[in-house]
Amino acid sequence: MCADRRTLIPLLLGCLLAGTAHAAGSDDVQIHGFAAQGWVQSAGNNIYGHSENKGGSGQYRELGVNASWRPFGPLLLSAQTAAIQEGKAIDEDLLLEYGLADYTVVSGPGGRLGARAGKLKVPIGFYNDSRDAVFTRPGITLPESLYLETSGARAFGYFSAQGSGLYGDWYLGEHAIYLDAMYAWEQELDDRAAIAILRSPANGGRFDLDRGLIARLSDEYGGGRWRFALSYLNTQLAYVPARPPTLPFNQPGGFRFDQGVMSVQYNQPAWSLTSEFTLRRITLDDISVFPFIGPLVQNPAGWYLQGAWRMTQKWQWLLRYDEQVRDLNDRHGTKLSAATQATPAPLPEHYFFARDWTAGTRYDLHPNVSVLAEFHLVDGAASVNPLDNPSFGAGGADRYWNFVTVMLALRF
Amino acid sequence: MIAFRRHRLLAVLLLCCVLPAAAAEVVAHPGHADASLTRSTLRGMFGMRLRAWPDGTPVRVFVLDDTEALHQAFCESVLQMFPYQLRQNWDRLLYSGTGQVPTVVHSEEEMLRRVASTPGAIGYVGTYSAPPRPAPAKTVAGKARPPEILPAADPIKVIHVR
Repeated sequence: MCADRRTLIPLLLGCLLAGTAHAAGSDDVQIHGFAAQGWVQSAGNNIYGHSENKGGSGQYRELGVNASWRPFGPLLLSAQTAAIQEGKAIDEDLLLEYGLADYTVVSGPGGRLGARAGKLKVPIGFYNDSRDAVFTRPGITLPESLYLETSGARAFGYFSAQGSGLYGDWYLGEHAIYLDAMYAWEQELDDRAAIAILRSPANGGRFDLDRGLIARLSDEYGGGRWRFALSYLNTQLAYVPARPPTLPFNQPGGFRFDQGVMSVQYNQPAWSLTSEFTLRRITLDDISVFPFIGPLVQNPAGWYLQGAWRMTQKWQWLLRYDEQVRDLNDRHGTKLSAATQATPAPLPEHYFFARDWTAGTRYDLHPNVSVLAEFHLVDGAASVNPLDNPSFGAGGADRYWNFVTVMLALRF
Repeated sequence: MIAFRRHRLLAVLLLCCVLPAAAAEVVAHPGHADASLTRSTLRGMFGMRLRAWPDGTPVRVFVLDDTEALHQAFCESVLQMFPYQLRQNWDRLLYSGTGQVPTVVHSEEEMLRRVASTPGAIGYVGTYSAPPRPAPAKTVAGKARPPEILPAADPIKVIHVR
Protein backbone atom coordinates (compact mmCIF):
# COMPACT_ATOMS: atom_id res chain seq x y z
CA MET A 1 0.00 0.00 0.00
CA CYS A 2 1.53 3.31 -1.09
CA ALA A 3 1.74 6.26 1.25
CA ASP A 4 -0.79 8.89 0.25
CA ARG A 5 -0.27 12.64 0.27
CA ARG A 6 -1.60 13.02 3.80
CA THR A 7 1.19 10.92 5.22
CA LEU A 8 3.83 11.68 2.60
CA ILE A 9 4.19 15.39 3.33
CA PRO A 10 4.64 15.07 7.10
CA LEU A 11 6.89 12.07 6.47
CA LEU A 12 9.11 14.10 4.18
CA LEU A 13 9.20 16.82 6.82
CA GLY A 14 10.26 14.25 9.37
CA CYS A 15 13.09 13.03 7.14
CA LEU A 16 14.11 16.62 6.43
CA LEU A 17 14.25 17.28 10.14
CA ALA A 18 16.47 14.28 10.73
CA GLY A 19 18.71 15.18 7.83
CA THR A 20 19.06 18.83 8.83
CA ALA A 21 19.80 17.97 12.41
CA HIS A 22 22.37 15.42 11.40
CA ALA A 23 23.99 17.84 9.01
CA ALA A 24 24.14 20.46 11.76
CA GLY A 25 26.38 18.02 13.63
CA SER A 26 24.66 18.79 16.87
CA ASP A 27 25.08 16.64 19.97
CA ASP A 28 21.44 17.26 20.65
CA VAL A 29 20.35 15.01 17.82
CA GLN A 30 19.19 11.52 18.65
CA ILE A 31 18.10 8.82 16.26
CA HIS A 32 16.51 5.65 17.56
CA GLY A 33 14.28 2.94 16.25
CA PHE A 34 12.89 -0.52 16.53
CA ALA A 35 12.18 -3.52 14.38
CA ALA A 36 10.02 -6.48 15.33
CA GLN A 37 8.79 -9.49 13.44
CA GLY A 38 5.96 -11.54 14.89
CA TRP A 39 4.25 -14.78 14.06
CA VAL A 40 0.76 -15.85 15.14
CA GLN A 41 -1.09 -19.16 15.14
CA SER A 42 -4.73 -19.16 16.18
CA ALA A 43 -7.69 -21.48 16.47
CA GLY A 44 -11.23 -20.15 16.04
CA ASN A 45 -10.74 -16.67 14.57
CA ASN A 46 -8.03 -14.92 12.57
CA ILE A 47 -5.84 -12.26 14.09
CA TYR A 48 -2.96 -10.38 12.44
CA GLY A 49 -3.58 -12.13 9.13
CA HIS A 50 -4.67 -15.66 8.24
CA SER A 51 -3.50 -17.02 11.56
CA GLU A 52 -5.93 -19.93 11.54
CA ASN A 53 -4.15 -21.40 8.52
CA LYS A 54 -1.66 -24.19 9.07
CA GLY A 55 1.64 -22.39 9.54
CA GLY A 56 0.02 -19.35 11.05
CA SER A 57 0.58 -15.77 9.94
CA GLY A 58 3.79 -13.80 9.68
CA GLN A 59 1.92 -10.65 8.62
CA TYR A 60 2.84 -9.05 11.88
CA ARG A 61 5.71 -6.58 11.91
CA GLU A 62 6.63 -3.20 13.27
CA LEU A 63 9.48 -1.07 11.96
CA GLY A 64 10.05 2.44 13.22
CA VAL A 65 12.67 5.16 13.14
CA ASN A 66 12.54 8.33 15.17
CA ALA A 67 14.67 11.44 15.26
CA SER A 68 14.71 14.19 17.83
CA TRP A 69 16.61 17.47 17.85
CA ARG A 70 16.95 20.09 20.51
CA PRO A 71 18.19 23.11 18.53
CA PHE A 72 18.18 25.22 21.70
CA GLY A 73 17.20 24.61 25.32
CA PRO A 74 13.42 24.85 25.52
CA LEU A 75 12.61 23.60 21.99
CA LEU A 76 12.42 19.94 20.97
CA LEU A 77 11.58 18.78 17.43
CA SER A 78 10.79 15.11 16.94
CA ALA A 79 9.26 12.75 14.43
CA GLN A 80 8.75 9.03 14.08
CA THR A 81 7.88 7.14 10.94
CA ALA A 82 6.86 3.51 10.92
CA ALA A 83 5.84 0.63 8.75
CA ILE A 84 3.28 -1.49 10.56
CA GLN A 85 1.51 -4.58 9.44
CA GLU A 86 -1.07 -6.54 11.39
CA GLY A 87 -2.77 -8.70 8.81
CA LYS A 88 -5.31 -6.71 6.82
CA ALA A 89 -6.34 -4.69 9.87
CA ILE A 90 -3.26 -2.48 9.63
CA ASP A 91 -1.21 -2.45 6.48
CA GLU A 92 0.80 0.73 6.47
CA ASP A 93 3.98 0.82 4.42
CA LEU A 94 4.93 4.20 5.73
CA LEU A 95 3.10 6.36 8.16
CA LEU A 96 3.98 9.29 10.36
CA GLU A 97 3.29 8.23 13.92
CA TYR A 98 4.21 11.59 15.35
CA GLY A 99 5.86 14.81 14.18
CA LEU A 100 5.87 17.70 16.59
CA ALA A 101 7.45 20.79 18.05
CA ASP A 102 7.57 20.91 21.85
CA TYR A 103 8.38 24.17 23.65
CA THR A 104 8.92 24.41 27.41
CA VAL A 105 7.67 27.83 28.41
CA VAL A 106 8.49 27.74 32.11
CA SER A 107 10.97 25.48 33.91
CA GLY A 108 12.25 25.38 37.47
CA PRO A 109 13.30 22.98 40.23
CA GLY A 110 9.63 22.50 41.12
CA GLY A 111 8.35 21.65 37.66
CA ARG A 112 7.71 22.93 34.17
CA LEU A 113 4.98 24.05 31.76
CA GLY A 114 4.98 23.79 28.00
CA ALA A 115 3.10 23.47 24.74
CA ARG A 116 3.24 21.15 21.73
CA ALA A 117 1.83 21.10 18.21
CA GLY A 118 1.89 18.77 15.25
CA LYS A 119 0.90 15.15 15.07
CA LEU A 120 0.86 14.18 18.73
CA LYS A 121 0.60 10.84 20.49
CA VAL A 122 -2.69 10.67 22.35
CA PRO A 123 -2.18 10.50 26.14
CA ILE A 124 -4.44 7.76 27.48
CA GLY A 125 -3.64 5.47 30.39
CA PHE A 126 -0.17 4.08 30.98
CA TYR A 127 0.75 2.76 27.56
CA ASN A 128 -1.02 4.63 24.76
CA ASP A 129 1.45 7.36 23.97
CA SER A 130 4.50 5.11 23.61
CA ARG A 131 2.79 1.93 22.42
CA ASP A 132 4.43 1.59 19.01
CA ALA A 133 7.66 0.08 20.29
CA VAL A 134 7.16 -3.34 21.85
CA PHE A 135 9.85 -2.52 24.42
CA THR A 136 7.48 -0.02 26.01
CA ARG A 137 4.58 -2.46 26.21
CA PRO A 138 4.14 -5.03 28.97
CA GLY A 139 4.25 -7.81 26.36
CA ILE A 140 3.60 -8.35 22.67
CA THR A 141 -0.01 -7.19 22.91
CA LEU A 142 -1.66 -4.44 24.90
CA PRO A 143 -4.89 -5.07 26.82
CA GLU A 144 -7.48 -4.79 24.07
CA SER A 145 -10.28 -3.49 26.33
CA LEU A 146 -8.54 -0.13 26.67
CA TYR A 147 -5.99 0.03 23.87
CA LEU A 148 -8.19 -1.16 20.97
CA GLU A 149 -5.38 -2.57 18.81
CA THR A 150 -7.29 -5.20 16.85
CA SER A 151 -10.43 -3.06 16.97
CA GLY A 152 -8.73 -0.78 14.47
CA ALA A 153 -8.75 2.33 16.66
CA ARG A 154 -5.52 3.56 15.08
CA ALA A 155 -7.65 4.52 12.11
CA PHE A 156 -9.79 7.00 14.01
CA GLY A 157 -6.96 8.84 15.70
CA TYR A 158 -6.87 6.95 19.00
CA PHE A 159 -3.10 6.45 18.82
CA SER A 160 -2.04 9.83 17.44
CA ALA A 161 -3.75 12.81 15.88
CA GLN A 162 -2.95 16.25 14.56
CA GLY A 163 -3.47 18.88 17.17
CA SER A 164 -1.97 21.10 19.81
CA GLY A 165 -1.30 20.36 23.46
CA LEU A 166 -0.29 21.72 26.82
CA TYR A 167 1.69 19.92 29.49
CA GLY A 168 2.81 20.51 33.03
CA ASP A 169 4.97 18.77 35.65
CA TRP A 170 4.89 19.47 39.36
CA TYR A 171 7.59 17.90 41.56
CA LEU A 172 6.15 17.93 45.08
CA GLY A 173 8.25 15.86 47.47
CA GLU A 174 7.54 12.20 46.79
CA HIS A 175 4.82 13.08 44.27
CA ALA A 176 5.55 13.85 40.63
CA ILE A 177 2.33 15.17 39.07
CA TYR A 178 2.05 15.26 35.29
CA LEU A 179 -0.68 16.78 33.15
CA ASP A 180 -0.92 16.15 29.40
CA ALA A 181 -3.75 17.74 27.48
CA MET A 182 -4.38 18.02 23.77
CA TYR A 183 -6.93 19.36 21.35
CA ALA A 184 -7.23 17.41 18.10
CA TRP A 185 -8.44 19.67 15.34
CA GLU A 186 -10.55 18.87 12.29
CA GLN A 187 -8.84 16.24 10.12
CA GLU A 188 -9.58 13.50 7.64
CA LEU A 189 -9.33 9.98 8.98
CA ASP A 190 -8.14 6.74 7.45
CA ASP A 191 -10.66 4.79 5.38
CA ARG A 192 -10.52 2.05 8.00
CA ALA A 193 -12.09 4.30 10.63
CA ALA A 194 -15.55 3.40 9.35
CA ILE A 195 -14.81 -0.31 9.65
CA ALA A 196 -13.50 0.14 13.19
CA ILE A 197 -16.55 2.12 14.30
CA LEU A 198 -19.31 0.31 12.42
CA ARG A 199 -17.67 -3.12 12.66
CA SER A 200 -18.45 -3.77 9.03
CA PRO A 201 -17.36 -2.29 5.70
CA ALA A 202 -19.16 1.03 5.40
CA ASN A 203 -20.09 0.69 1.77
CA GLY A 204 -17.95 3.60 0.73
CA GLY A 205 -18.86 6.07 3.49
CA ARG A 206 -16.20 7.65 5.69
CA PHE A 207 -15.72 9.15 9.12
CA ASP A 208 -13.73 12.32 9.70
CA LEU A 209 -12.72 13.92 12.98
CA ASP A 210 -14.48 17.19 13.85
CA ARG A 211 -12.66 17.76 17.11
CA GLY A 212 -11.19 15.90 20.05
CA LEU A 213 -10.21 16.83 23.60
CA ILE A 214 -7.90 14.53 25.55
CA ALA A 215 -6.37 14.99 29.00
CA ARG A 216 -4.43 12.81 31.42
CA LEU A 217 -3.46 13.65 34.98
CA SER A 218 -0.98 11.29 36.60
CA ASP A 219 0.91 10.96 39.84
CA GLU A 220 4.13 8.99 40.24
CA TYR A 221 4.66 8.50 43.93
CA GLY A 222 7.92 7.46 45.50
CA GLY A 223 9.83 7.51 42.24
CA GLY A 224 7.19 5.34 40.60
CA ARG A 225 6.56 2.81 43.34
CA TRP A 226 2.91 3.78 42.94
CA ARG A 227 1.56 5.24 39.72
CA PHE A 228 -1.93 6.67 39.28
CA ALA A 229 -3.58 8.23 36.28
CA LEU A 230 -6.95 9.62 35.27
CA SER A 231 -7.53 10.03 31.54
CA TYR A 232 -10.43 11.64 29.71
CA LEU A 233 -11.24 11.71 26.02
CA ASN A 234 -14.10 13.46 24.19
CA THR A 235 -14.25 13.25 20.42
CA GLN A 236 -16.79 14.12 17.76
CA LEU A 237 -16.64 12.48 14.36
CA ALA A 238 -18.78 13.13 11.28
CA TYR A 239 -20.05 10.43 8.94
CA VAL A 240 -20.29 11.17 5.23
CA PRO A 241 -22.03 8.47 3.18
CA ALA A 242 -20.78 7.34 -0.19
CA ARG A 243 -22.01 9.07 -3.34
CA PRO A 244 -24.40 7.72 -4.41
CA PRO A 245 -25.36 6.48 -0.95
CA THR A 246 -25.39 2.71 -0.49
CA LEU A 247 -27.20 0.64 2.11
CA PRO A 248 -27.15 0.23 5.00
CA PHE A 249 -25.14 3.33 5.95
CA ASN A 250 -26.66 5.80 3.60
CA GLN A 251 -27.29 8.98 5.63
CA PRO A 252 -24.93 11.63 7.02
CA GLY A 253 -24.58 11.59 10.78
CA GLY A 254 -22.30 11.97 13.74
CA PHE A 255 -20.42 9.71 16.14
CA ARG A 256 -19.48 10.85 19.58
CA PHE A 257 -16.97 8.89 21.65
CA ASP A 258 -16.39 9.81 25.31
CA GLN A 259 -14.05 7.85 27.53
CA GLY A 260 -12.78 7.96 31.09
CA VAL A 261 -9.91 5.79 32.34
CA MET A 262 -8.63 5.12 35.83
CA SER A 263 -5.16 3.58 36.03
CA VAL A 264 -3.15 2.28 38.96
CA GLN A 265 0.17 0.47 39.18
CA TYR A 266 2.25 -0.82 42.09
CA ASN A 267 5.91 -1.62 41.50
CA GLN A 268 8.45 -3.61 43.44
CA PRO A 269 11.96 -4.60 42.29
CA ALA A 270 10.90 -8.03 41.07
CA TRP A 271 7.22 -7.61 40.30
CA SER A 272 4.50 -5.17 39.33
CA LEU A 273 0.71 -5.10 39.44
CA THR A 274 -1.24 -2.96 36.99
CA SER A 275 -4.92 -2.34 36.55
CA GLU A 276 -6.82 0.04 34.30
CA PHE A 277 -10.56 0.54 34.12
CA THR A 278 -12.38 2.33 31.33
CA LEU A 279 -15.93 3.56 30.83
CA ARG A 280 -17.11 4.86 27.49
CA ARG A 281 -20.22 6.46 26.09
CA ILE A 282 -20.72 6.20 22.37
CA THR A 283 -23.53 7.91 20.49
CA LEU A 284 -24.17 7.21 16.84
CA ASP A 285 -26.69 9.44 15.09
CA ASP A 286 -28.97 8.36 12.24
CA ILE A 287 -26.62 7.05 9.59
CA SER A 288 -28.90 4.28 8.36
CA VAL A 289 -32.52 3.79 7.38
CA PHE A 290 -32.54 0.61 9.42
CA PRO A 291 -33.48 0.87 13.10
CA PHE A 292 -30.94 -0.46 15.65
CA ILE A 293 -28.07 0.49 13.34
CA GLY A 294 -28.58 4.18 14.13
CA PRO A 295 -29.37 6.03 16.32
CA LEU A 296 -27.45 4.18 18.94
CA VAL A 297 -26.27 4.92 22.47
CA GLN A 298 -24.00 2.45 24.20
CA ASN A 299 -21.90 2.39 27.33
CA PRO A 300 -18.93 0.13 26.60
CA ALA A 301 -16.60 -0.68 29.44
CA GLY A 302 -13.44 -2.60 30.04
CA TRP A 303 -10.91 -3.42 32.67
CA TYR A 304 -7.81 -5.52 33.13
CA LEU A 305 -5.56 -6.81 35.88
CA GLN A 306 -1.97 -7.59 34.98
CA GLY A 307 0.89 -9.06 36.98
CA ALA A 308 4.50 -8.95 35.83
CA TRP A 309 7.36 -10.88 37.41
CA ARG A 310 10.96 -10.01 36.66
CA MET A 311 12.44 -13.43 37.35
CA THR A 312 15.95 -12.24 36.46
CA GLN A 313 17.27 -9.04 34.90
CA LYS A 314 16.86 -10.66 31.48
CA TRP A 315 13.74 -12.80 31.90
CA GLN A 316 10.25 -11.68 32.82
CA TRP A 317 6.78 -13.16 32.90
CA LEU A 318 3.30 -11.74 32.45
CA LEU A 319 -0.19 -12.85 33.47
CA ARG A 320 -3.26 -10.82 32.59
CA TYR A 321 -7.05 -10.94 32.60
CA ASP A 322 -8.70 -8.45 30.28
CA GLU A 323 -12.46 -7.99 29.89
CA GLN A 324 -14.50 -5.71 27.68
CA VAL A 325 -18.23 -5.37 27.11
CA ARG A 326 -20.05 -3.38 24.43
CA ASP A 327 -22.57 -2.14 26.92
CA LEU A 328 -22.18 -2.11 30.69
CA ASN A 329 -25.93 -2.59 31.00
CA ASP A 330 -25.72 -5.79 28.96
CA ARG A 331 -22.59 -7.69 30.01
CA HIS A 332 -23.60 -10.93 28.30
CA GLY A 333 -24.69 -9.27 25.06
CA THR A 334 -28.25 -10.57 25.33
CA LYS A 335 -30.09 -7.31 24.65
CA LEU A 336 -27.69 -6.15 21.96
CA SER A 337 -27.93 -9.46 20.14
CA ALA A 338 -31.73 -9.40 20.33
CA ALA A 339 -31.75 -5.87 18.86
CA THR A 340 -29.85 -7.04 15.78
CA GLN A 341 -32.18 -9.93 14.97
CA ALA A 342 -34.52 -7.69 12.99
CA THR A 343 -31.68 -6.22 10.91
CA PRO A 344 -30.07 -7.59 7.76
CA ALA A 345 -27.11 -8.65 9.91
CA PRO A 346 -28.26 -10.51 13.03
CA LEU A 347 -25.37 -11.07 15.45
CA PRO A 348 -24.88 -13.60 18.27
CA GLU A 349 -24.46 -12.59 21.91
CA HIS A 350 -20.73 -13.30 22.03
CA TYR A 351 -20.06 -10.46 19.59
CA PHE A 352 -20.65 -8.02 22.44
CA PHE A 353 -18.03 -9.06 24.97
CA ALA A 354 -14.53 -10.51 25.17
CA ARG A 355 -12.68 -12.05 28.10
CA ASP A 356 -9.01 -12.69 27.48
CA TRP A 357 -6.62 -14.67 29.66
CA THR A 358 -3.03 -13.96 28.66
CA ALA A 359 0.24 -15.55 29.73
CA GLY A 360 3.48 -14.24 28.31
CA THR A 361 7.22 -14.13 28.67
CA ARG A 362 10.10 -11.99 27.45
CA TYR A 363 13.80 -12.84 27.36
CA ASP A 364 16.46 -10.24 26.61
CA LEU A 365 19.11 -11.93 24.50
CA HIS A 366 20.98 -8.63 24.52
CA PRO A 367 20.05 -5.20 25.95
CA ASN A 368 18.76 -4.31 22.48
CA VAL A 369 17.35 -7.66 21.37
CA SER A 370 14.42 -9.49 22.94
CA VAL A 371 12.33 -12.51 22.17
CA LEU A 372 8.75 -12.56 23.41
CA ALA A 373 5.95 -15.12 23.47
CA GLU A 374 2.31 -14.94 24.50
CA PHE A 375 -0.66 -17.26 24.73
CA HIS A 376 -4.25 -15.95 24.76
CA LEU A 377 -7.40 -17.81 25.70
CA VAL A 378 -10.41 -15.76 24.64
CA ASP A 379 -14.15 -16.01 25.31
CA GLY A 380 -16.01 -13.58 23.05
CA ALA A 381 -15.60 -11.93 19.66
CA ALA A 382 -15.75 -8.24 20.57
CA SER A 383 -12.08 -7.75 19.65
CA VAL A 384 -12.15 -9.68 16.37
CA ASN A 385 -11.29 -7.55 13.35
CA PRO A 386 -13.68 -7.85 10.37
CA LEU A 387 -10.87 -7.29 7.86
CA ASP A 388 -9.09 -10.49 8.87
CA ASN A 389 -12.36 -12.40 9.29
CA PRO A 390 -14.61 -12.11 6.23
CA SER A 391 -17.41 -14.07 7.89
CA PHE A 392 -17.56 -11.61 10.80
CA GLY A 393 -20.32 -9.48 9.32
CA ALA A 394 -22.53 -12.52 8.82
CA GLY A 395 -22.17 -13.60 12.42
CA GLY A 396 -19.54 -16.25 11.70
CA ALA A 397 -16.89 -15.33 14.31
CA ASP A 398 -16.30 -18.04 16.93
CA ARG A 399 -17.00 -17.43 20.61
CA TYR A 400 -14.15 -19.48 22.06
CA TRP A 401 -10.82 -19.01 20.42
CA ASN A 402 -7.15 -18.84 21.26
CA PHE A 403 -3.84 -17.82 19.77
CA VAL A 404 -0.14 -18.04 20.41
CA THR A 405 2.21 -15.33 19.22
CA VAL A 406 5.99 -15.05 19.17
CA MET A 407 8.03 -11.96 18.38
CA LEU A 408 11.68 -11.10 17.85
CA ALA A 409 12.37 -7.47 18.54
CA LEU A 410 15.36 -5.20 18.38
CA ARG A 411 15.94 -1.56 19.16
CA PHE A 412 18.69 0.93 18.43
CA MET B 1 43.37 21.20 29.54
CA ILE B 2 42.01 21.85 32.97
CA ALA B 3 44.47 23.28 35.50
CA PHE B 4 44.95 21.74 38.91
CA ARG B 5 43.92 24.10 41.74
CA ARG B 6 44.97 22.89 45.16
CA HIS B 7 42.73 25.16 47.24
CA ARG B 8 39.54 24.11 45.46
CA LEU B 9 40.48 20.47 45.76
CA LEU B 10 40.99 20.94 49.47
CA ALA B 11 37.52 22.47 49.86
CA VAL B 12 35.95 19.57 48.05
CA LEU B 13 37.92 17.01 50.05
CA LEU B 14 36.83 18.65 53.32
CA LEU B 15 33.23 18.50 52.15
CA CYS B 16 33.60 14.80 51.56
CA CYS B 17 35.20 14.20 54.96
CA VAL B 18 32.32 15.59 57.00
CA LEU B 19 29.64 13.70 55.09
CA PRO B 20 28.68 10.07 55.55
CA ALA B 21 29.82 7.67 52.83
CA ALA B 22 27.25 7.04 50.08
CA ALA B 23 27.00 4.26 47.46
CA ALA B 24 26.87 6.95 44.75
CA GLU B 25 27.20 10.70 44.63
CA VAL B 26 25.89 13.23 42.16
CA VAL B 27 28.48 15.26 40.29
CA ALA B 28 27.94 18.26 38.07
CA HIS B 29 29.85 20.78 35.99
CA PRO B 30 31.24 23.55 38.23
CA GLY B 31 29.21 26.14 36.34
CA HIS B 32 26.36 25.48 38.77
CA ALA B 33 26.69 26.79 42.22
CA ASP B 34 23.76 24.92 43.75
CA ALA B 35 25.11 23.08 46.72
CA SER B 36 22.22 20.74 46.91
CA LEU B 37 19.18 19.66 44.97
CA THR B 38 16.08 17.92 46.27
CA ARG B 39 15.45 14.31 45.38
CA SER B 40 12.32 15.28 43.44
CA THR B 41 14.28 17.78 41.32
CA LEU B 42 16.97 15.16 40.68
CA ARG B 43 14.30 12.69 39.60
CA GLY B 44 13.04 15.34 37.19
CA MET B 45 16.56 15.92 35.81
CA PHE B 46 17.67 12.29 35.53
CA GLY B 47 14.18 11.43 34.32
CA MET B 48 14.87 13.72 31.33
CA ARG B 49 11.86 15.91 32.05
CA LEU B 50 13.51 18.89 33.77
CA ARG B 51 15.76 20.08 31.01
CA ALA B 52 17.16 23.31 32.40
CA TRP B 53 19.09 24.52 35.44
CA PRO B 54 17.60 27.55 37.26
CA ASP B 55 19.85 29.85 35.21
CA GLY B 56 18.50 28.38 31.96
CA THR B 57 21.57 26.28 31.07
CA PRO B 58 20.41 23.05 29.45
CA VAL B 59 20.82 19.99 31.66
CA ARG B 60 23.10 17.37 30.07
CA VAL B 61 22.59 14.02 31.75
CA PHE B 62 25.27 11.34 31.75
CA VAL B 63 24.62 7.82 33.00
CA LEU B 64 26.25 4.41 32.97
CA ASP B 65 24.69 1.42 31.28
CA ASP B 66 21.57 -0.01 32.96
CA THR B 67 23.43 -3.18 33.89
CA GLU B 68 26.28 -1.41 35.74
CA ALA B 69 26.24 -1.89 39.51
CA LEU B 70 27.02 1.79 40.08
CA HIS B 71 24.01 2.85 37.99
CA GLN B 72 21.76 0.60 40.04
CA ALA B 73 23.29 1.83 43.28
CA PHE B 74 22.73 5.43 42.15
CA CYS B 75 19.08 4.76 41.31
CA GLU B 76 18.43 3.03 44.59
CA SER B 77 20.40 5.20 46.99
CA VAL B 78 20.17 8.69 45.47
CA LEU B 79 17.03 8.76 43.32
CA GLN B 80 15.38 6.07 45.43
CA MET B 81 13.66 4.53 42.46
CA PHE B 82 13.99 1.20 40.68
CA PRO B 83 16.43 1.18 37.72
CA TYR B 84 13.84 -0.40 35.43
CA GLN B 85 11.43 2.46 36.24
CA LEU B 86 14.00 5.02 35.13
CA ARG B 87 14.51 3.15 31.87
CA GLN B 88 10.76 2.88 31.29
CA ASN B 89 10.38 6.62 31.94
CA TRP B 90 13.07 7.41 29.36
CA ASP B 91 11.50 5.06 26.81
CA ARG B 92 8.06 6.59 27.33
CA LEU B 93 9.42 10.04 26.52
CA LEU B 94 11.51 8.82 23.60
CA TYR B 95 8.79 6.82 21.85
CA SER B 96 6.15 9.50 22.32
CA GLY B 97 8.38 12.19 20.85
CA THR B 98 8.27 14.25 24.04
CA GLY B 99 11.80 13.73 25.28
CA GLN B 100 15.26 12.31 24.69
CA VAL B 101 17.41 9.77 26.49
CA PRO B 102 20.59 10.52 28.50
CA THR B 103 24.12 10.04 27.17
CA VAL B 104 25.55 6.69 28.20
CA VAL B 105 29.22 6.59 29.25
CA HIS B 106 31.24 3.46 29.74
CA SER B 107 33.31 4.09 32.85
CA GLU B 108 33.55 6.35 35.84
CA GLU B 109 36.64 7.95 34.31
CA GLU B 110 34.70 8.82 31.19
CA MET B 111 31.85 10.09 33.39
CA LEU B 112 34.20 12.47 35.22
CA ARG B 113 35.80 13.65 32.01
CA ARG B 114 32.49 14.32 30.23
CA VAL B 115 30.87 16.03 33.22
CA ALA B 116 33.93 18.22 33.77
CA SER B 117 33.98 19.36 30.19
CA THR B 118 30.27 19.78 29.40
CA PRO B 119 28.46 22.91 30.63
CA GLY B 120 25.24 21.96 32.37
CA ALA B 121 26.35 18.37 32.86
CA ILE B 122 25.13 16.17 35.68
CA GLY B 123 26.07 12.59 36.45
CA TYR B 124 27.17 10.34 39.28
CA VAL B 125 30.23 8.56 40.61
CA GLY B 126 30.86 5.86 43.19
CA THR B 127 33.03 7.70 45.62
CA TYR B 128 34.62 11.07 44.94
CA SER B 129 38.36 10.70 44.95
CA ALA B 130 40.98 13.33 44.28
CA PRO B 131 43.17 12.75 41.30
CA PRO B 132 46.71 11.62 42.13
CA ARG B 133 49.43 14.27 42.06
CA PRO B 134 50.88 14.90 38.60
CA ALA B 135 53.63 12.41 37.81
CA PRO B 136 57.19 13.80 37.94
CA ALA B 137 58.81 14.65 34.66
CA LYS B 138 60.24 11.63 32.93
CA THR B 139 63.32 11.60 30.85
CA VAL B 140 63.60 9.55 27.74
CA ALA B 141 66.98 9.32 26.15
CA GLY B 142 68.10 12.44 27.99
CA LYS B 143 65.15 14.62 26.93
CA ALA B 144 62.77 15.93 29.61
CA ARG B 145 59.04 15.42 29.12
CA PRO B 146 56.55 17.79 30.69
CA PRO B 147 54.65 16.34 33.72
CA GLU B 148 51.40 14.57 32.79
CA ILE B 149 48.24 16.42 33.67
CA LEU B 150 45.93 13.60 34.67
CA PRO B 151 42.17 13.78 33.99
CA ALA B 152 41.22 16.41 36.49
CA ALA B 153 38.31 15.84 38.86
CA ASP B 154 39.04 19.12 40.56
CA PRO B 155 36.50 21.32 38.72
CA ILE B 156 33.57 18.99 39.44
CA LYS B 157 31.12 20.16 42.04
CA VAL B 158 29.80 17.40 44.22
CA ILE B 159 26.13 17.87 44.80
CA HIS B 160 24.51 16.36 47.83
CA VAL B 161 20.84 15.54 47.84
CA ARG B 162 18.69 17.39 50.39
